Amino acid sequence: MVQVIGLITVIFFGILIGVFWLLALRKGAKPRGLRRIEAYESLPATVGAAVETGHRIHISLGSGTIGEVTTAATISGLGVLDQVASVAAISDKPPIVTAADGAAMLLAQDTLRGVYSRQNASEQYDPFSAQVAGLTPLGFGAALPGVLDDEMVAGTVLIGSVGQEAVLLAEAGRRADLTTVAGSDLPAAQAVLFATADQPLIGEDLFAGNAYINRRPAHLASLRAQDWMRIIIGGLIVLGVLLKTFQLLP
Amino acid sequence: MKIRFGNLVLTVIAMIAGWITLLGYFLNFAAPFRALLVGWVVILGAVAVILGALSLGAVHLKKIFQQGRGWPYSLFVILGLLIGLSAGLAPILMPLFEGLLSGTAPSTAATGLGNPYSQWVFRYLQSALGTAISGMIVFFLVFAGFRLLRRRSWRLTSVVFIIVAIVSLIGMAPFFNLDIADLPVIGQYTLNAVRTWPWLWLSQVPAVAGARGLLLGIALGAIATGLRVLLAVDRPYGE
Repeated sequence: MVQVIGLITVIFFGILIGVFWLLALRKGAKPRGLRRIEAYESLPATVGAAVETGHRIHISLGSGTIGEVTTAATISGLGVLDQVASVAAISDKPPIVTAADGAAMLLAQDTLRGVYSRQNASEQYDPFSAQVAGLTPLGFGAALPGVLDDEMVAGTVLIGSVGQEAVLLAEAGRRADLTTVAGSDLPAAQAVLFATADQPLIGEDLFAGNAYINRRPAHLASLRAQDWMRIIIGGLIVLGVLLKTFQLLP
Repeated sequence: MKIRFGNLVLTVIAMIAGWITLLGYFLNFAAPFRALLVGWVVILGAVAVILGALSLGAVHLKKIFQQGRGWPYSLFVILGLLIGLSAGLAPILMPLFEGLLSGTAPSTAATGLGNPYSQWVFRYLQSALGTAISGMIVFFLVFAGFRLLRRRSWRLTSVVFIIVAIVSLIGMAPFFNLDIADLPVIGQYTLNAVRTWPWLWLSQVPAVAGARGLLLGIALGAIATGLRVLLAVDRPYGE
């Protein structure tokens, strides 16, 4: 029974995304406004400042791995990497990407290669731009301050799965007076980043980066479907509480 | 828009593999295929760990040879990699050398998790250094909490954050091992109860509700990201 409900939920979610996508592709369809997320609003200025001052932008995919529960957060980080690198690649100092997993590093290299290829600048692509900073979460966290210092970074974007070790990156950014945009899929890390990062991403904001940056209809449709699913699930929870309170459920 | 054949093949393979893995969770007939694909992922994951270690070594070797900023620290990274690698290979290589020297067949030794050399490295190097870093995180968090109000100029969320942090600290602190009976009584409550009650309520009611809300949002975001990959809207592979 639980499996059937799960399958129906996933299919329904997929259909919702499809429907909103088709609605967004209609002729004359107006793009829907989005709630303000300061972190994403500040991103173009951070990247622009890095490009103008001839510094690097540092994009971190966190210590998550591909093939486990952290995959979605890492993929979300890769989407933002694609968008940020598209702008920052024109700089003398190309963006630098850090990960804690070999597969995430390969995907980051592939993303960067794609960005340079689209801009007909494949010769500028440096495979060392995407690197593994540490193989364990704590090792990764401890290595990040060194990356900020050694690579002359002007701003950091951390989008992925990362634990409380993210505080080491945020602190290093503060000491170097850099802007840090950071979000994680772990609630404990979100609390830490709320206190330490300049622009923290809370809750599902982590997964909204693509929609906010590139405004593609499919990503906006995905956000809209998420909102509807939240309303439906919230409604079902309230209904369940009422039924249980009035003893209408066994 | 120009569609490359290679990208199309990659997309189709990724979509089929993704849908089979997803359906394997819900439909019994797809479960063996899911298990097969997940098995392949485990093997690829192991290869990715090796690639990650090679990347780490290559980046730091490059830094050492080019004498880039902070290159002396890279020496320690390379030294750590070599120590870790040597500890992993020691149970295999040492009996082999002993066998060669004595002219007898090499004895078998514990490898993997039972490897005593790796255990020593983990216990006395990795674990010790990890604990030291974890200890530093506490101080960073305390300082970050103090800076929060100054930086965010008394926003409501910042004030709530600080109040919750203070109440939690008061509630969780050991209170100098004082006997509860020695503490003054306020009305019908002991000071200890007054001290811990707000923290217990905060951690069991609003914190749990908030965490569930956050987790629900994160789960929906993760599912939406997964569905976008399955629908080939997002392609984190290929150009």
